[in-house]
Amino acid sequence: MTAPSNRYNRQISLPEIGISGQEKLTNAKVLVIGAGGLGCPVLQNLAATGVGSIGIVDGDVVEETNLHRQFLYTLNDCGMNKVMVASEVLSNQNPEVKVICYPTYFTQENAFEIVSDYQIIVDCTDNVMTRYLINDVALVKNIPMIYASIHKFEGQLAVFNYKSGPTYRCFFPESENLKELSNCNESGVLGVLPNTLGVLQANEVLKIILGIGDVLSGKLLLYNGLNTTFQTITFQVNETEKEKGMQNGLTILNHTTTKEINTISTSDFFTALSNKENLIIDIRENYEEPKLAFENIKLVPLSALENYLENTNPNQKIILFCQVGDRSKLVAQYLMRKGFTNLFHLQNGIEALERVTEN
Amino acid sequence: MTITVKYFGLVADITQKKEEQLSFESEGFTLKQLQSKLEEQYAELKNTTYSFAVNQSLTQSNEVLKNKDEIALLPPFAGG
Repeated sequence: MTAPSNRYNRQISLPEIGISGQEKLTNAKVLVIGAGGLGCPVLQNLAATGVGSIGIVDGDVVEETNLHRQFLYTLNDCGMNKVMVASEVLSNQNPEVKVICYPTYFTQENAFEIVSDYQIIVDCTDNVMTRYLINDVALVKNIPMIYASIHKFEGQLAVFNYKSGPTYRCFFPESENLKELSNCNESGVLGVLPNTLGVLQANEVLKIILGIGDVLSGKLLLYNGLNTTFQTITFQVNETEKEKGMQNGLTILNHTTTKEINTISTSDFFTALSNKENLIIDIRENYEEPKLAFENIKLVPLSALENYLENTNPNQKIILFCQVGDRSKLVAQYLMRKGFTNLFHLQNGIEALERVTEN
Repeated sequence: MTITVKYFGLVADITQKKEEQLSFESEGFTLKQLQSKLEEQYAELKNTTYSFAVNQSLTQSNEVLKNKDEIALLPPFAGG
């Protein structure tokens, strides 16, 4: 371990935090789903505070209409994947935190794979059906979900499934009418609102990690930006609704855990490099460093991968690698569902190779 | 009896107001009856999903309302 930097001195001086609190933050693993209006302030605050591992899930690209409220992005980023841009900005903001990228939407197919061993999920999505999915996965994994959502000038905030507390379904039982609820694209939004709610979400995350204060569990906070009012509605576990979520979560889990992906170790990877029969693909984006200079390695970023493999024999041995091994695993699973049979991915990615070559 | 009804999110978009006071001559009015009355007045509410809170506490039951109760109609929000 290197000596802690001075970066966190002002928060370490709080008796509620101290060195031990900062260690809790360093060891924490938080998954942020959605890198938009809510996700940006959540990510910026968690990274600045020194939350050690932050996963970001979003399949969307940056658009000019995002810029008035999503402060991780600039005009130059338009058209680029939000997760990849956010990851770069956050790593510059605080190189001490590890950012794990999932440049994909959160779906039934990838939900459990992505959530893996994260301790907290922050729900920064913009549609109700994904919130039910997050809720049900969180229930099965027995981890809390920090919810926020906005409508025009109003916001809602709550922590669901905290220490077996009430869930999203307990407040909002699923119904047919919900599928068409409008998001910011349709109903409009002033940037300060998601930023306010996102900061409040980050606050709940930090309290849970640090074990301080009162977590907003069993309460839904209502914020109105036009008249600056906060009020809370209390609620309890609804056993029927909670059970519905648990059942749905387990069904999803059982459908998606049948396919295990072969991993390849660093030493086997170097051996594989010398065999020209193998198709070895670096799926990282062009700007990700360091590059591996072997002529046998194809550089195919995620967005181009499907086209690239279009005419490939499904039984071809393919070895995928990325920065830390999370993306390559997800992509390998995706390709397996597409019919490829001989897939491997490099465990812990290029960072594992770096460690080996350093030694 | 007189009650205050508060509207949020999409529900407030439908009612075009944040809150209103409603008076009833008889006591013993239930939440279900209130819902029917509101859906008569604001037909679009039938196609909307929302939860009820009475005096800042979520309720799913067919509660009997009392004078001065504050009822909130709370839809989930979608935006993020």
